[in-house]
Amino acid sequence: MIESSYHEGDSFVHAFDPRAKLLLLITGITTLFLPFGVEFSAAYTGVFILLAIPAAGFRHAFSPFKLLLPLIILIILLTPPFFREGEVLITYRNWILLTEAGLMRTIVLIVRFTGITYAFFLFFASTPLNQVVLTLRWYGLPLNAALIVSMSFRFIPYITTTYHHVSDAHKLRGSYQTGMWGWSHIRGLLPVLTSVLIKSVKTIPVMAMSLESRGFGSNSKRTSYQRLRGGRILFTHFIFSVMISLIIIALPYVVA
Amino acid sequence: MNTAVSVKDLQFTYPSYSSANSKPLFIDLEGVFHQGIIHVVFGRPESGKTTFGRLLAGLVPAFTGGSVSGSVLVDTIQVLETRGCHLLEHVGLVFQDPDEQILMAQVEDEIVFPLESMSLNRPQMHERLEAEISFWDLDDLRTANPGNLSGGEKKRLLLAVLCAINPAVWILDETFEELDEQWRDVLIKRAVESGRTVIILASKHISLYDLYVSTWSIIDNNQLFQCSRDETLQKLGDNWEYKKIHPSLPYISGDSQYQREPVLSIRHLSFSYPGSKSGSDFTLYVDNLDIYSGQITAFYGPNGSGKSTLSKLLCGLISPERGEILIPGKGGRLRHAAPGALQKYTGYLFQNPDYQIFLPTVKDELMYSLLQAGIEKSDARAQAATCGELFGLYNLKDTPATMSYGSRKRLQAAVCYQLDRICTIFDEADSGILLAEYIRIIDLFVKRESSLIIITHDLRLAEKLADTVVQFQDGRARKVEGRRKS
Repeated sequence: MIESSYHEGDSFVHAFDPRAKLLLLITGITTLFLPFGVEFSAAYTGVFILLAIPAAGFRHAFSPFKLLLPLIILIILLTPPFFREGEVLITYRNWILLTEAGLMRTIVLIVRFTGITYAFFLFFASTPLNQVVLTLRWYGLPLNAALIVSMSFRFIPYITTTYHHVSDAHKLRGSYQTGMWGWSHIRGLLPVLTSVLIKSVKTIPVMAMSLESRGFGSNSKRTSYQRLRGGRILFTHFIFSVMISLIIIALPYVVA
Repeated sequence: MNTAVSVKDLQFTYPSYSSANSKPLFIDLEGVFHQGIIHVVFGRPESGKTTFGRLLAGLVPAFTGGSVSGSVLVDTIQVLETRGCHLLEHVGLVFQDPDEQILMAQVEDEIVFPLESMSLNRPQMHERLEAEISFWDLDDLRTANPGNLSGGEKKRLLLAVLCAINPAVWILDETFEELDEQWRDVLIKRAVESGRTVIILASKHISLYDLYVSTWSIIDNNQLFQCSRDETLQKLGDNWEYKKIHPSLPYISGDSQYQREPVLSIRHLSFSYPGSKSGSDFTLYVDNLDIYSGQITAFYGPNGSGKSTLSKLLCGLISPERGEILIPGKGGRLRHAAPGALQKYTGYLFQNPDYQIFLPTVKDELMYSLLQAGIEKSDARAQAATCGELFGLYNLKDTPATMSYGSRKRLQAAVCYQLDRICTIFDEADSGILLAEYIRIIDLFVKRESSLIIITHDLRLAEKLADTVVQFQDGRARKVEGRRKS
């Protein structure tokens, strides 16, 4: 419950006001679903990935790919059979494995999922969770809802870290080893996942207990220690965000 | 003297699960804790110390279920009828397991979170934050992710939170565990100087309390006995004094005659954690160090000095940047050991037992590695029962998830024992269990001629138990003792 996806740094992505950043995040994700053509979605996704390098460092910038990989494999395996229009690209005996439409749809889905993942990664890698909560509250979300959102985003990396701890422990117990493949990999993975599940489920009441012990839920009005910057910087960043948003929406029309 | 906390006719029973009916944990428990002094409450594992602390803080049974009756008064507040969040300024509890209590993603945020609940204004919060950050030496870690801190640093963070809130009653649940000696001393003096009512739930460190504690009690047989120091220790049994525990054992009496061969050799090893911006530029260097067969080596040093990092290297969970780890090959000649080989060679009891136990019952846990090794089910069952008895796990149908922290620690040790590794590392395995139990577990491993590495903050324990003490300071390891002291 104490893990975060935030990467400390001083990049320009970090320096950008989180309220303006959230606006850009929403615009960026929306454009991935507008009917502009896959090349624009791919270009925007590429920009997100490039921005991730200064925001999270080269080593961590590509970590979302590890999370995405199973999903990408599923998309590659499951999408083409449902899109059989257009020129046939790959066949096996009498079976059509891939058509032009299937290929395009697969690419679109991969680009969108990658783009969404990187857009969120960028936001959370460059924004401390306290600022996420303040940003959501600035946009009008009640404190409880903002806290739930931030806790949820924190819980995902927590489970990942727990998984690493548990798999380490199981490696030493001989029940799961690096380099296992196929059925033995799945068999070895089951106790690891069981431990992670038990630990995660046990965390829920303990987290509630911990929140209660910190006075969360009492009737008194909560104050706030952290503050978001205001004034000229906020204005400048917002203007910049709006301009970027307009450009990324208008660019495909201009090019067309 | 005014009463700060009074407990009358307290009865508590955890909810029953399908596998077993819960027995009452407290029956007609009574106790009085006076204002402004230090109280210590001892208890064996499973006696209910943690539950008692959480009951006083209004967190049980609200989040655990169970039936409760009686009366718990803090000042004039009836705790059993009050939500924990309304007790923030009255009772503060430091959990035994810091990972269970830390909520925020930055050290500073963790400290200010409850201050925000108290509706303090920004200057008030700033003043308290800075005072506690400075007092608990967390200045370099103020923007760090608490998840990356060492066990002792996490405890200091929770203490900083407690002191920032400064409630009328402090409850410290095994808080002295995982703190090194310097910080234990700082904590007890701070508790005294605070003028608050401090209730320490403990199972060891008697000598520390001797100087500062005003009242002694013990939870035993579902009741709280408030008595003199000597009576309390008598009830605790021979579980707390080194000499009284197995005085015949060679490593306690100091007549060890072992002359052994190295089972692990470290040569010019260095390691640093990659990509850590918030932490310090910590690097571990160990030039030459040998771990001998059948001997106990103690890793001793302050929090964050590199003890656990070296242990992970010796287990093959991380790889060194430079240097190598050698183990005996054919003919006893030392050869380079890859991480995969070390994983099968060195056992490791993690600080947190929950990472290592995962099956529905104690029996399943104890049989797992035996079945994996191809042992017949009937033989495995018999061996599991024997092992269970050795480690005080008498009910093999117990569900680990609902067992106490101390019992889970013993189960974790039993699981490691079944693996029968050449070398086993105990990473602060004494926390949460009685000293006698810890030594009993060590004894079981020693009798099998296992080489043991014990990680501890207790220099006295290290000197008593270990053939070799390796002191860690800022990532450097230095051998300081050659033989055990009697």
